[in-house]
Amino acid sequence: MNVDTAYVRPADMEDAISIKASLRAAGMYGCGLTAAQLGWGVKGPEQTIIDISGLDFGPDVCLADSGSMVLAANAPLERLRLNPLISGQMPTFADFLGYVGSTAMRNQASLGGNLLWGAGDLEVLFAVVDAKLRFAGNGRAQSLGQITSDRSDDLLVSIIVPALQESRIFVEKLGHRQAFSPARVVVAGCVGRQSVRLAVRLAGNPVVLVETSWPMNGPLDDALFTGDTDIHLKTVAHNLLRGHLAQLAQQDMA
Amino acid sequence: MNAVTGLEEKLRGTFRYLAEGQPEGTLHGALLTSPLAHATIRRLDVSAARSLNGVHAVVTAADVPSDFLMGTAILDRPPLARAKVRFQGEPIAAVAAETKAIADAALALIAFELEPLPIVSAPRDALDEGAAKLHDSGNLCSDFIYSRGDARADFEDCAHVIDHTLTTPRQVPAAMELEGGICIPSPTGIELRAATHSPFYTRSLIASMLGLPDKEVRVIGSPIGGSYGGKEEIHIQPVLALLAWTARRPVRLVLERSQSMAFATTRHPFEIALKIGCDRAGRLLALTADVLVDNGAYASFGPEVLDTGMECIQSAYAFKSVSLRGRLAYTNNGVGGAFRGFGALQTLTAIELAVDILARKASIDPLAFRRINLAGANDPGPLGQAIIPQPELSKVADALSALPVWRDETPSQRYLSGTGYALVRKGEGFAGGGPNGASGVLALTLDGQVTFQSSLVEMGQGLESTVRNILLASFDLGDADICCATGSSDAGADSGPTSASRGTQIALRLIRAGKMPFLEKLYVGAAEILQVPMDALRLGPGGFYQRMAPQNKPDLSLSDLAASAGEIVTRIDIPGIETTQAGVKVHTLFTACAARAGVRIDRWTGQVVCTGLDLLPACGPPISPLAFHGQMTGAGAQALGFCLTEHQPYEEGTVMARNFDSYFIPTIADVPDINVHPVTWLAPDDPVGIRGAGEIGLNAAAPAIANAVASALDAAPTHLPVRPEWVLGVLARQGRTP
Ligand SMILES: Cc1cc2nc3c(=O)[nH]c(=O)nc-3n(C[C@H](O)[C@H](O)[C@H](O)COP(=O)(O)OP(=O)(O)OC[C@H]3O[C@@H](n4cnc5c(N)ncnc54)[C@H](O)[C@@H]3O)c2cc1C
Repeated sequence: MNVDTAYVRPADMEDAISIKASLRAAGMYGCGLTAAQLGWGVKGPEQTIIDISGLDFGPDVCLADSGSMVLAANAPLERLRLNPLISGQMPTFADFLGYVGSTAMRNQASLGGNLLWGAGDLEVLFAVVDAKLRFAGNGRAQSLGQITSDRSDDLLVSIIVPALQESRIFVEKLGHRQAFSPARVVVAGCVGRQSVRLAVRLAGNPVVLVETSWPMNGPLDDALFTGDTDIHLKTVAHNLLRGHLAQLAQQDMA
Repeated sequence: MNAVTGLEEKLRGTFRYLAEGQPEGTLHGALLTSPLAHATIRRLDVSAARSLNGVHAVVTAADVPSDFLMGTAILDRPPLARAKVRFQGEPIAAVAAETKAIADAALALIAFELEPLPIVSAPRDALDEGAAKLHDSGNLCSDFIYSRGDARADFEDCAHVIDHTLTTPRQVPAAMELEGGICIPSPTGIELRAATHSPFYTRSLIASMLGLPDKEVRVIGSPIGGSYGGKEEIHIQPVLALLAWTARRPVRLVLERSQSMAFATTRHPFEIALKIGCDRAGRLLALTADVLVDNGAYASFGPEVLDTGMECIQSAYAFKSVSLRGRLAYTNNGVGGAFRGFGALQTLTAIELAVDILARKASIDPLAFRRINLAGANDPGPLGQAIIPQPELSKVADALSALPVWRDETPSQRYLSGTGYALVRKGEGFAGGGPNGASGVLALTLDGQVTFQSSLVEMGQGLESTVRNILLASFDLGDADICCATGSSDAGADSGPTSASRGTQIALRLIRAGKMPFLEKLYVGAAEILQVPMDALRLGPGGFYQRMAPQNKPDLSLSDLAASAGEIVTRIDIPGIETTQAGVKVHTLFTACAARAGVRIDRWTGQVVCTGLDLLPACGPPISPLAFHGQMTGAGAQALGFCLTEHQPYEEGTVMARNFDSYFIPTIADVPDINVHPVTWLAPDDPVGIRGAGEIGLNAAAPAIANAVASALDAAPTHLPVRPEWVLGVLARQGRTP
């Protein structure tokens, strides 16, 4: 880490927001900084880092009365992976976390950083489960796809994953090797009683989300495989979705 | 005995490698490297950089004697580009300055103009008549021709014939420790602390460049933080030495990873076209091989790599006739060099794939096919040379056949599985002409320790623990009584390079040869001091004991012996185990190894996962079992990279992977359980009794993995690493995609 970099440790959430408001584009929120540093040259960041990793965003995970899960945006991924509420409610998520970076990375990397960075693997999974992102200040919760402006201007506080009792979820990432590899393809699906939500990220392209009826009786929507990438990755994404969906359909038949 | 030198310090992070712990006032060294792969240097002006405050040296080719070139068989590489650059990342100039910032500023002040030349990127194009020449001698760096019998006629007699062509990857050494070091000048010479496999060779090379007598150059070459061959080369030492000698100040110069990815010598990509045939009974009759190697810009160890690859291209099998041609072409794709496996890895993988294809065609089980064709214990070597007999080959085949059967994977719609085998051999040490002999010293030092001094180097392979185990087994002494001094030109005796899997063999033979004369000196000294006949004494833990009056502490401790008699020294010289043969370079001592690999192939993604690996090295009894195991499992991991993930691509001379985020070394998650089953039996009259473990595991593991892929897919890989795209293409052609 470069010694010339300016870091600010706000006292609390309000402090963080007011520092950001005064610095505007010259400041940025930083949590684990594991994604942010990928864009830095040897000189380090050009903006002042507003360190939110130590702020109190509530418990890492809590269950709302509705059965939905509320996750703290600054919770480190490894803590989430080991959290019993997550392995109980959404074991697919806990397992998938094992494919994000390495243990050392996950000890630093936060859920919020992953979802807002722009190329995080978890975005694909959180898109199909229709997770909502709650930002400080505006009590409104937004879906991932609705966040179109600069993703890191507002402070993300929590992520709400709706109750998924009747849904079946799959998510899979293909990298260059088993682990610790940038994703080449990430696919996810969430099959409900009458509909299925499918999402794909091909290499560095944006996540594409499609919702359709279940059981499916037509081909997969071509829109899922758009994006600037080679045909191989499109084939792989197609195979993965087809394969997982066929398995789920078989389960339904059984 | 600990297999890892400085284990505790390494775990605590306090272990220091050679480029760490520089003296006060050490200058920062930095390199200006070529952005172009092939160009004429039209202008190079370092005057502004030289006059910058805080800069103590700026060196270019003009500071190196004009006839100074580096290489082994062919001297063609200047330490700093002279008149031309031949690969992207080639050093053009270097600076030593008080801080990194000043060094960077000085680099920016160097004015240079490069006039681009046509880039030679494909070895086949390099050998075309009209290709741009990298060197005045042309682009054919070296070639290899050998034939035995009449292959053309023997193919006529074959019942089954197959062709197979394999291209292999440009693997980078990817050691954690980057190339570099520290150089400390004195009024009359220098001390160079930088990783090398061969401290004496490095010493004489640097001394000749600086015009110094050898004795004024001290080289400390180990511990090395990973090499895999990359630091067998002379890397950045000459530039570092030149900077320190010019600046008259200590200098530290360590490459950055992005520089290393372009500068480090890599494994040579081979294109291997094979045709082999057998009779109805499965006996191999003929082999033709045409091998084309991408050498990169400078010869380095390329000619030796080609020779070794061609020598190993028959693997462990007896072909009736062979016709072999190999060519090594200069290109602008970095520099190929020494790399664990040394050319044999590439050709062994190709031939083992071909053998399996032929076995399948002949409807013979691959293991049975190998047995039918195994070279006889007393057969001449692959190129007709006299070799140390290899009766262990059949033991290795027995052990391979006797491996417990793997449980079949549960059949699945998604995955295919396959098992592959390999049985290989490779020469140990250097080919005839060497350097194969070695020298070392056994000494009772003044602090009372029996010390083995050699210039062999520790690079994480466990040399020191192996030497200590040999000393303990040779002298009935305690752990505190022995010492191993390795890795520098202080040794007083040149043990030759720690390369070509020869380190353990050399240490063992030196200690074995020196043991009796050294013991004799110790006994004479002890008898004189204790005033008893020599045969009344016994050497034991701590010193000498009188046989007739046994005590629980020595009658004469080793330190008292040293205090009275002074340092007791025995210099040892051993000859090389080698033969020479007209026209080809040949090895005499061979190591055999077999392997079995399992893979699982994902029909949805084309991804290949190695699910298990058995290695059966015939290296005699492991001297340091943990270090031996480490060599084998490390080799398995490196084989995985070679087969499945690693390749440094060049596009028109441009290095495409500058870091490990785009060059994929297998991680622990990719490495399956690797089971090592040492085949410890070697012939009782074997002149060494052991074989080196450095390379052979890799040479067997890679072809076994490639064969496992072939067996799962029913199609042999044509390119390594195996790409998921290729796998899905094969499955699509076979109608086996989901
Ligand atoms: C070696 C390595 C391996 C990696 N492997 C993976 C991988 O396998 N999969 C993967 O998905 N990612 C991977 N990453 C990327 C990254 O580590 C993760 O995506 C991580 O989750 C990012 O979290 P962070 O807390 O470090 O984000 P930071 O770097 O701190 O922030 C990332 C961005 O989000 C913004 N931000 C962060 N938190 C908030 C918040 N609460 N409110 C508003 N804005 C916020 C920041 O301003 C910044 O723009 C890897 C990175 C590295 C260096």
